[in-house]
Amino acid sequence: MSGKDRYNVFPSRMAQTIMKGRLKGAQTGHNLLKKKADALAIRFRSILKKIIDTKMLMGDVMKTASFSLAEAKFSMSGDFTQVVIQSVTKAQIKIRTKRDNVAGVVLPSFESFNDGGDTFELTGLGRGGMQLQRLKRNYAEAIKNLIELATLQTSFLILDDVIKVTNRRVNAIEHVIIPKITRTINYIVSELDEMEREEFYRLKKVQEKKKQARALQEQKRVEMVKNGVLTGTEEEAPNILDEEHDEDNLFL
Amino acid sequence: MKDDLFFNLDHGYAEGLCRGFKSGILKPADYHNLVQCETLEDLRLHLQSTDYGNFLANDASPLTVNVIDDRLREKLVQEFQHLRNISYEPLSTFLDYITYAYMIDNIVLLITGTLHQRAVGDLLPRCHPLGSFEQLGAITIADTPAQLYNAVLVDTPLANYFIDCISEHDLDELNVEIIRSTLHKAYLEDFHKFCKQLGGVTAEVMCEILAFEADRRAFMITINSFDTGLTQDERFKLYPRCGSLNPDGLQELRRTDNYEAVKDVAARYPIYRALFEGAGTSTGEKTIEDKFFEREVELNRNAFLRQFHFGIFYAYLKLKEQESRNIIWIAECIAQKHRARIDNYIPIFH
Repeated sequence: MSGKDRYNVFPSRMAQTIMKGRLKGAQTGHNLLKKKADALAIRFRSILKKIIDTKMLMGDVMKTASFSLAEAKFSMSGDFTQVVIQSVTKAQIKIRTKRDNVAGVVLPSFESFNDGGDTFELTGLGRGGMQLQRLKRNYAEAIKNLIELATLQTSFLILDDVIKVTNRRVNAIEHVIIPKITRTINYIVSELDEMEREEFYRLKKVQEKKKQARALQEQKRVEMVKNGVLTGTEEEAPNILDEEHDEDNLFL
Repeated sequence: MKDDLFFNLDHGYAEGLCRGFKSGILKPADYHNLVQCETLEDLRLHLQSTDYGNFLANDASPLTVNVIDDRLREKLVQEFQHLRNISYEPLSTFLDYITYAYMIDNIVLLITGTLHQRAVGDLLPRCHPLGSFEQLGAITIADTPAQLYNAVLVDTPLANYFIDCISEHDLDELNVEIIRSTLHKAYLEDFHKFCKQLGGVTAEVMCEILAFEADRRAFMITINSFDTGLTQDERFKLYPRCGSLNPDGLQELRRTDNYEAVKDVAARYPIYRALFEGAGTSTGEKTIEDKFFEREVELNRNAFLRQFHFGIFYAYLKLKEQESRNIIWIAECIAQKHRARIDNYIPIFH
């Protein structure tokens, strides 16, 4: 694994600041994503519970509906199912989709509405009408249940997907991105330290050299005073007009 | 008198056959056995020991309720066709009248199908076999109900019912249920007139049964139309006039608009008062439909107590149909494992 990688930057203070900024950004991002993953997980669990309940209810509702079909067949002598099937033109119950937003995830929700009147109002007029009304009610309820279940199941699948993706991102940030940045920062810091040390060493060396040079000059002066060339009391006043190099003041 | 002396000349064999079929109708003990079955296979086994014999023998192992339904109907149709084939006039006309009811259902189905541009080839197998007539196959040529009427229905025995009540313009617009109810009304009144014409015991027995049928339709149409868009006048047009409610009861029914009011109207007729009192609208109690079924079964059963009349043929067909419905009900309860109401079939014999 390329886990010992770091970003390829030139180690400078600027790079360090930039990296620190990135680290902060990664940490904030990590927190936010974790919150999102938690919110989604809560919603996921509640949907799961609702799905289980609705499915149980569905079993009962379908059972009642099939039984009421049997009842209707019993009291309506004759095959009313054929007339019903043949006279179907369009769907009576239709679905509109709405969008729900959960922590940034768009979940569709289905809402049913009745389109058009009940074309089978008069079926079973001669006999069996009451059973037929009950049958219609039972199956309408079954459909409502089915629609609810459809909403819940699509939400379930979408959420499942999104939760996986979000968790993957959270883990990626936590285990890959942040360590990488941290390593980069450490590297920069270590490089900067080393550069400073080098600088320090260089300065010390220069100082030493300067001290040696000064010591040498002092010796020369003492010799010259001894030789009577110089009185030793005169100080050389600097001439502004001379382009002499001014020694640096090293306050070390 | 004339009935008794000369009846057996032409119709003795048919009557004997019919009574034979009637004795094969399931008894309470058979129903008891059927109710105790756990699976449809058990049901099949128990039916083998009855008059039904091996009618399900050729069907593959996972038996479904639809298959049982088809076979029961086939058997019924076979028996009826046999009776029709060996009958002489006027029994054959009488039996034809019985089939008109099924023809009405088939025609309504075909009209619905053509209204919605369904392929007629799909519709034909779904028609009731007892209600088939020669022109049934010719329905393919018609595209609209008006054409259907002109080309096909005009030649059938049902043409009169159409003329009496609806013009061909109405065929397109009226709801099919109203068409069906109107046709049925005309049919009942026609049948009633025919039976009255036959006279004798047949008239007595059949007119009573048909009067009950007419009243029952009036009540049911009223009750079932309460929450729908059917107006009182339209409803009034659908009431058959050959029952005992005619004319006062029908006028009263026309003005009702809830179940209690219908009950009050029924209270003036002792038989219907008793039926309504035994019934209730909540689940668990017998509905008024169940009580009507029971009364119909009672009337049909009583038809067999008299001899030398055609009523037994009608009664036999209706009882056999009720038995088919009972068996299917029990089969559905078993198949759906919903045994709570398995005893809600209508017992035919006691």
